[in-house]
Order: sequence, then C-alpha cells, then structure tokens
Amino acid sequence: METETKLEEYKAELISEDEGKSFVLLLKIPGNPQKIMLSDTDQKDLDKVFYALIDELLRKPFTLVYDKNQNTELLGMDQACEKFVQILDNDLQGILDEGKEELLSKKTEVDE
Amino acid sequence: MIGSDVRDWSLYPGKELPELKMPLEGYDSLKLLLRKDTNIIEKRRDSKKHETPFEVVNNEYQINELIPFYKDCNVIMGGKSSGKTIFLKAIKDYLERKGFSSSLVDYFSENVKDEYKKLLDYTPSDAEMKEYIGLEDCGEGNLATIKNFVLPSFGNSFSKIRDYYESSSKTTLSKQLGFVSCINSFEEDSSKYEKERGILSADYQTISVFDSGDFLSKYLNKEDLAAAKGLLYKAENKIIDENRLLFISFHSHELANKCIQGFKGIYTQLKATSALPVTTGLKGLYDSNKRVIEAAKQIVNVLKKDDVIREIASGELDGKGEVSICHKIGQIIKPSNDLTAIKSRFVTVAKDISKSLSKIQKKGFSFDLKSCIASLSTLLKENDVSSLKDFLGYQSYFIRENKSVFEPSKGEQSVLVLSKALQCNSPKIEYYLLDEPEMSVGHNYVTKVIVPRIKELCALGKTVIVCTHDANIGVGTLPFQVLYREERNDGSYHTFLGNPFADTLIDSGTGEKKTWKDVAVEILEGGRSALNLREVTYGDRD
Repeated sequence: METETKLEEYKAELISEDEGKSFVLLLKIPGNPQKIMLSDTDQKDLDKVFYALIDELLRKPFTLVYDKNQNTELLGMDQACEKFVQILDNDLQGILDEGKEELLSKKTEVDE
Repeated sequence: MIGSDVRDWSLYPGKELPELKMPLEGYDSLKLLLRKDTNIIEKRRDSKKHETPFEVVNNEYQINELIPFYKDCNVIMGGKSSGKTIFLKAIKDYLERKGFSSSLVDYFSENVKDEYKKLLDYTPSDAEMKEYIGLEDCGEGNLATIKNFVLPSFGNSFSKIRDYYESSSKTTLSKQLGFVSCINSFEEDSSKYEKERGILSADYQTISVFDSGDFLSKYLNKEDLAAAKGLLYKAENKIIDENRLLFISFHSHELANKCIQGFKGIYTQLKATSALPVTTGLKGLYDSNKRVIEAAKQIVNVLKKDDVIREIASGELDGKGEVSICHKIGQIIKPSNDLTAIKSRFVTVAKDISKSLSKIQKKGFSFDLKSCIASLSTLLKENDVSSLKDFLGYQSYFIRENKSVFEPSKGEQSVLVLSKALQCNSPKIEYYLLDEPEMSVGHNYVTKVIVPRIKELCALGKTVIVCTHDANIGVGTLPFQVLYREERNDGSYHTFLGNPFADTLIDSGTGEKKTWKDVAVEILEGGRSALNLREVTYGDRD
C-alpha cells in the first residue's frame, strides 16, 4: 500500500512596516539564503518570487504554512496573510500533483 | 528433326530448338512454321499486334512511316548514322502525342550522364520530412508556442483577500454562497489528459490494425477466429469506455473551475466587492512555462533524432553484387553529418537555435526563461524559421551489397540508369524504349540481365522497342519484329520491316527485299567472315 510522504513545512511570517511598505510577507526557506519577500503594495517582483518557489519545489517538494503573528494589532492582516499562504500552498500542491514524475526528472537534470 | 519422344534435351547438345514464342495448335502448325509459311507466321504475330500502327515521323532522316508494332520485342538495327536513335525518338514522340507519356519508360545511351545525375538527385518530399520529424505540423505549433510565450498577469490577490476579509466575508450572502470563499480548484492537467488520450488512441489503432488484417484467418480456424475477433471487439469497447470516462473527468473539472471563476466574477461585479481568489497566479505561471518546456523538449528530441536511410535496390553490378541507392535524411546540426541542408547557409544558425532550445528546456521554470525566449525568437525571426524542416539535411549515395559506399564508374552508371528503366515493374508501364542498352555495360550484363529481362517483359505482353548493335539482344531476344535502317551513298535512308520467322525484311517504300539472317550477320555479328573466324578461334569449327 502506498504511503504518502510527509512534505517538509516551510514557514511564512508577516513583518510589518518594512522599508515604508505597509507589510511584508516573508517566506523563509531553510538552506536557502535568499528570503522571499512579498509586499501588499509592491508586487512587481511577484514573478521572481514565484520562480524562486517553483525552483525550490523542483529541488525539494515542500508545503507552505503560515506562522501566525502574535501582534494583535495586525490581526486583520494576519488573517489575510494566512489565507494568501493557504492559496499559495494550494497552487504549489497543484503543481506537485500534476507533475511529480516530471519534477523528479527535472530535478535530476538540474542536479547534473 | 529430333523425334518428339525426346525427354531430356541436354542429351542432344546443339540440337535444342529455340524458345517457341508462338502458340501452336499442333505438329502441323509447327511444320508450317518451320517452312516459314507467311500466312501462319502472320496469323500468329497478329495476336500480339497493336490495333493502330505507329506514325513515326522525322523529316531530317526521311522518316515518315506507319509501322505496326507488337506487344513483344521489336528490334531496330542498322549501321552507324542510319538514324536508329532518331527513329526511336520519333516513336517516343508519337507515343507522347497519343497520351502515353506515363505508360512508357525509355533509356537512351546518350542521356546516361544526365539520367545518372537525376538518379542521384534527391530532395526529401514533404511527406518524408513529416514522417521523419514525427509531428503532424512539423513542429510549427511548438515553435509558435515558444515564440508567443507571454508571462501571465497575476493581479493583486493580496488586495482581493484583504478586501474580502474587510467587507465581503462579513455579509450573510457571502456566507450563504459557498463559491465566494472557495479556493480549492479542481485538478485540470491538460498535458496529462492529452498523454493518456494519446495512449488510448494508439492502443485503439493497434487493435484496429490487428482486427482489420487478414493474417488471423491464416492461422486460426473459423471458431478460434470468431473468438479472437470477439476479444478484440471487447478490448476496443473497453478503450472507448475509458476514453469517455477520461473525457468526462477532465472536462467536468474544467467546467467546475470555469463555473467557480465565473460565479466569483459575477458576484464581484454585482456586489461591488471581492470574492476570495482561487489562485495566486503561481499555478498559471507554472502551466504556461510547462507548455513552453514541453514544446522545447519535443523540438530538442527531434533535433537529436538519428538519421534515417532508405535503401532502394538499384540492380546488380559485377564485383559489387546487389547495389542500392541510399536516401539519407537527418539533422544538419550533428557534427558527423555531411548533409546538404534543406535551408542553405543555415547550419551555424541551426546550432545556435538548438542550444537556445536546450537552454529553454533547462531554464524553463526560472526567471531567465523570458530572456531565453526573446533571444530565440530573434534568431527564428531573422532566419525566417517556422518549421523543423529547416533543420533537415539530405544525401544520396550508392552502396555495395556489403553496405560499403562506392562511386559508380561510367560503365556502372550506364548499368544503373538502364537497370532503373528495365526493372520498372509498374503495371501501368506498357512501352519500354531502349537505345543501345549494350553500350558500356559489358557482355556479361547483356546476356545475364538485359536479354532475360526483355524476354520476361515480352512474356508479360509489354511492348519493347530496342535499338541495338548487339547480336545477343538483336537475335537472342527472338524479336517479333525487326526494323532495319539503311543509309545509302546517294543520301537516301531506307526502312526495312520484317521478322526472323519469315527471314525476310522488306523496304516499305520500294518493296526491296533482304534476308533477315544476312542483315543480322552483317550488322550484328560484323559479317559472315568475322562470325566464321570467331567460331574457328573458339575451336567450334575447323
């Protein structure tokens, strides 16, 4: 019987008032020095963020979870970020479901 | 005459009768034939005579004849410059005028050089290129997919989510309408769907081919055949069912996703507020990149394909055995290939494009993809490339029976060109016009190939008209008709018509008669004294 492999969980957290932006969602990927930052006002780098996520997914499939913020003032934002990460993770799992074999072969090519 | 009770003619060397080319009712007919009875000869020949005589015209050589030809061997002989070749060309003109161009093959020794070039001249047809590439549109669609790649716009899903939580999520209607907060879209993998459909389709085709072939009936009895057919029918139906389920599954997901998106759009418009987006745009980016990678991968696989060589049997050559002409089609970017490119001066560019495609394939899911595609698109546009046909090259060459490559000598070129004409087996070919087929091919080829093949064609009822100086062809083929062309000192040309059975040749203009045997010995053997000398030299005569 096939057992489902538990995917590694990557954390996403909310950072407020970073460099004049109203909030920044920070995705930290262990072992990857690059921090993926996503602002609600400045999304011109969204494609770079997405490519970085796909690139990471090719290396090692993962699931994305939101790390709830303890700051009560940011409660509304926290809720939105949680949903965003949920939708983002839904996209990632969709990619994983679609091309597990392909991702693995791609991974081999990349490794080569 | 040896008695009719002879069982084994090999016991009577030198007494064999020549091949009997005419059907005879009995021994009396044979006696009449041996007596060269004109009536019985003509009666027999008439069975193979063309209904309409040929109008053979050439004013320069004073040719204006109406000649009956036979669906058998018709030999034209004569001295040098008697206009034999012109006569044959005039026959060809007549047949072409009458609309028989596609029913004739010809061989003129003076054209060997050009015909050999044509024989070697090979450019793959569109169908061959398509078959080699293995893609219905020769890769046009794949190249277009890559060239037309546009980074999908993501929208600001953050803002939509925030709007949703700040206003929309608090309304009763939003809570009642599940789709407003729905985010899980149904899996809709078009490439997986197409792949699975492709497998089913291929399986169906295989079973259909199996089912439609006659070979099952060769090996199975009636009962087993019915059982096998029943099982094949069952398998076909199973495939149809699976295909239907696959179709329903994929398109129902597609429909559900479109409905959710549609409802969300309507809700957003009507209530002037946000619904939760179903995606951040990441999946869309992945899908569009995946399409490009798939397209690039397919192209790269085609560019890596091995050469395809088609061997076409081209006849037998002394010392080389059964030789073949090879038509090779392959990729010009392969360093080992010495192919003529379909698109001239394209090899370097083709290599650059190939590298660019490999890069796209490898960098498919990265931010660099856009710049890779931009540079590839420039290369494709500057060099007007829209199909994988442009990457192909071709070559033609001859190989020996042992598969080694060789360049035919002049004599071998004659053999190859003649062989192509002689060995043409198309049922629509009725006329074989051969001008001095013995030229440059060697006596061995004449006796072993040309004469037997002419006899074979005659047995099939084909009309063979052959100009020759060779006794083996002129006599050995047992011609049904002989035309003798003669040029005289007064500048006049004469055409004598006759046959070996009657041993007579008659000038159609003056009525002058000659003996076929005398003319044949003079023209084909070099005269009686030469013939005698040969026989003495060989020790066949004292």
